[in-house]
Amino acid sequence: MTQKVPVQVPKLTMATTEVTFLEWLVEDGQPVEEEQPIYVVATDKVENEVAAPASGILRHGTAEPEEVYPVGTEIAAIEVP
Amino acid sequence: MTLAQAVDARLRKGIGRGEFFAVIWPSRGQEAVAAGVGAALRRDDRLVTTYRGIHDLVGKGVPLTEILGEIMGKSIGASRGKGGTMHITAPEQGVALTTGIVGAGVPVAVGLALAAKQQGSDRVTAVCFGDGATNTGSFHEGMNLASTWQLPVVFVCQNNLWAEMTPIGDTMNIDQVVDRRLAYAMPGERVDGNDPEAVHRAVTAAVERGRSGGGPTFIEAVTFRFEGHYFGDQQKYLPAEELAAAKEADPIPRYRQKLLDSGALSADELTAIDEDATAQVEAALAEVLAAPAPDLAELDQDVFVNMEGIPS
Repeated sequence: MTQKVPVQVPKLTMATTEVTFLEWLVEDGQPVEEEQPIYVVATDKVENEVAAPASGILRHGTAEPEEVYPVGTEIAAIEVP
Repeated sequence: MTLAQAVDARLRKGIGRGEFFAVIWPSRGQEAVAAGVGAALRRDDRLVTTYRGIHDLVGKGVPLTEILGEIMGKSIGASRGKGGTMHITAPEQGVALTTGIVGAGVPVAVGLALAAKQQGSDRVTAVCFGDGATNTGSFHEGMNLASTWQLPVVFVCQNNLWAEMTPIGDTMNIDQVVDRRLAYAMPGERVDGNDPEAVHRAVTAAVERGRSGGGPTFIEAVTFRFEGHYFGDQQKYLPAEELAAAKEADPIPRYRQKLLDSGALSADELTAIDEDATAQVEAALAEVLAAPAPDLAELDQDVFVNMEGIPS
């Protein structure tokens, strides 16, 4: 049975309440390793690469470049076999 | 030390990738001070620490579920999820207060020591704070009264050389924080805060002094914080060479090597300690993540003993 691990926008600093999604580093449907950087967000005028919370197949959600998302938004999922 | 490091590392990993949401002030790099202090205190001795105090709480023996639970605002947290990282209290392990205000713990610790003296108890109170706290009025007021009344307090300055984003040299005109004790005729010493045995020796002597009626002691433990002021701090103000030099003196690999060289522990035994620390953190984290948030009925609990006269 495949388990889906949510990919949620992290609270990257004390003051972060929302981030700007910049780009995916891994294509939709591709395998990723836990801890591998999978997308880039901007917060406090700093770009941050965010790591995969699990190993599996990355399924992009609806995140659009330059759009702002609150901390905790589920922007993707990782299918763990 | 390894357990405190494992807690800090797991929190940073989980927050950084969106696995859970919390605010922490990382203690990575300062574990040797916490280990030395925690091991020198009796269970009923009191500890007062700060928001950068996760390592101190681990050192004093607070259960990991209570620490992680409080940081994540869960009902199984030390303050039942209502205090957060800045307000962790664990009376059973002697942790009287974690404060979010720089320098605010000092007079509270002095009050706890005054209480012990008036109750005829031989328990000692240790209070941890940073270098920046020694610039506050509350610090000097507390030092003065502790010395005047010869109270059983151990002042432990975890001097990590940076007060939030300001280097120590910008805010004090003395070479060593430990010199501040001289204004209060208080005994004390400056130790290598990256050496747990040096910290332990100094704190043990200070605890014995306090317990036997010899009054307060001031200890400056010189160390460093590797991860900045708060989690996510990019540390652009910190010269790269200063951080690199500090990491050369990282207390954890250094003490591991010392234990190996002295033959006190084998590589296998040290690895087993590391693995046990990681396993303890993972088990506590799983329990915390599965635990509920505080019930709404908790809102007016633990606020006033007697609500009479308190506007509703």
